[in-house]
Amino acid sequence: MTERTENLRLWIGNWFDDSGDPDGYVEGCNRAPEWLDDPDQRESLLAFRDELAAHIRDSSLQSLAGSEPQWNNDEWHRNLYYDLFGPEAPPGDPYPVPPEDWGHRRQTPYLFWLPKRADRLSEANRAWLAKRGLTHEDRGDHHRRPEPPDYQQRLERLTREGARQAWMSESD
Amino acid sequence: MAAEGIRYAAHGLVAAWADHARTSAELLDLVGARGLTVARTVEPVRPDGAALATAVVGSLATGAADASWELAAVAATLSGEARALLALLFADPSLPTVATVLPPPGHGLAGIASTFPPGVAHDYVDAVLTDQPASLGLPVRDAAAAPVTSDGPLVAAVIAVASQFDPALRRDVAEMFLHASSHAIQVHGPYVADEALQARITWRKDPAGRTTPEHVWTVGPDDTVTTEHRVGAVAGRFDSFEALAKPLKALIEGNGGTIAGLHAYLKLVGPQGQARIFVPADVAGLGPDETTGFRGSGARSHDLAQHWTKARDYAMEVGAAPMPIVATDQIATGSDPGAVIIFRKIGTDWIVITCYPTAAPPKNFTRFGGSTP
Repeated sequence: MTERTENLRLWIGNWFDDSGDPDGYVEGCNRAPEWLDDPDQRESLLAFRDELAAHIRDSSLQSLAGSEPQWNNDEWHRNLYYDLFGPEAPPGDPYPVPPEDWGHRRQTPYLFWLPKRADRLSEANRAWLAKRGLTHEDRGDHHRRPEPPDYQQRLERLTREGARQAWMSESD
Repeated sequence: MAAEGIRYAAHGLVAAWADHARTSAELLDLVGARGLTVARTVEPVRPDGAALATAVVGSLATGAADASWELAAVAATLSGEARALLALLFADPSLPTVATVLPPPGHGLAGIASTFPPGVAHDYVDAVLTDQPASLGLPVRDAAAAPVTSDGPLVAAVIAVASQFDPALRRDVAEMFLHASSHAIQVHGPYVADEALQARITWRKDPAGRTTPEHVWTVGPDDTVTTEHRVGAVAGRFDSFEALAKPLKALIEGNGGTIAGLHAYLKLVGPQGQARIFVPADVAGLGPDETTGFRGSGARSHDLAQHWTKARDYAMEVGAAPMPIVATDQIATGSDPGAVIIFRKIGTDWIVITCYPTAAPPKNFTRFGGSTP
């Protein structure tokens, strides 16, 4: 089982938590290229990336406030992975997002908070869009992917195998 | 945009349904009470009083039954429309076809929520119905008229906050709040008016009135609103300078009482130069009635807040009626209340970017002191 490390908690907590402070989320995504070039931050950020991917694979992390279903948490982590690290799907994702959905059917927090007026886009905004092959018009529409039919079975199996822990909200 | 419009319409429909249920109850109660009043009035003063009173009560009862029938038909329409929209919103095509027995008009909101099968649509309807009776809507014109704190004396406010600290700390504390990147006092201070908080979440109007590209706020002749000011479904303020100072005071006191001690702690919990910290209410010494907040009506969880926020943005974009909000005292009603304080390292100094009350700690923020409930 992938334990939630202090490194992951600090990255999400200081920059990417869902609760309040959307400025921090956006700025963190904008600063990712700079951190990857910074020898003091690179290793820590890449470890965070790999851990986030493992949690997406195993549905083993809850980051959202309250007791949201695990599927909502997984989907939020997929959005964060895209917003922060780019368009390549996290390795081992059992329910990868169809690449053409990003910015079209699917809206991430970064896309939601992107300036609505093109003349207000920053350099960082433009670089972010370019890296993902999107234009300012591709803001996405928030169609939710419903929980896949085999999802609960998969959760139970992963819990049984010890890849994840069942959360309190799952014990009905 | 399509999905945002559905969100806006769905909220409006469920809210209208709640209003219909409430006014139905009031109307039917009123008809009953009227009948009794008329009967009591006529009975003693007319020779045929008793018979007349019986007739009046009888005909009012018939009228009430007719009214009840009409009201039920309206409720059925609202129910059908709401189910159709929620089916789209939650990608659940079965919702409109689930057999439901609506409660008789005037039988309260709980009966309405229970006509939805357990699941996200039920939780959504339940949250909107629960908040609806206490909801208010701030028209965009009132938001435009709401005061902004940039018209007020910032330096005096910073001094008022710094005065809450030990004299040896005051200069450093003042600098933490005076920096151009700090908006703790301007957006969450005691001189932020209620309408400014309401305008912030309903129309994304910056309470500080900043005119930079990230915050400038304009309303068009068609009531559409343009701004890049980012805010979710909740906004709050400290009602006194003393209350605003409390989280920082607790942090400094818990780290040796010195700025150097605070900096050492922030370096530990903010390795990229930003530290977001939750200070529990009991650790900060914050109690009820020390803070004021507003949040989106029905926005009781992350997911519900997302729906509300997107519907709010839709209202801004098309110039629609305001999304409803409710007043909340996060410290008094929160499940694990406290304050969030966000520091940023700029040069060699740490400044306070912002500080605000919260009903529950964000999951991954650093929790300072106290015990986990």
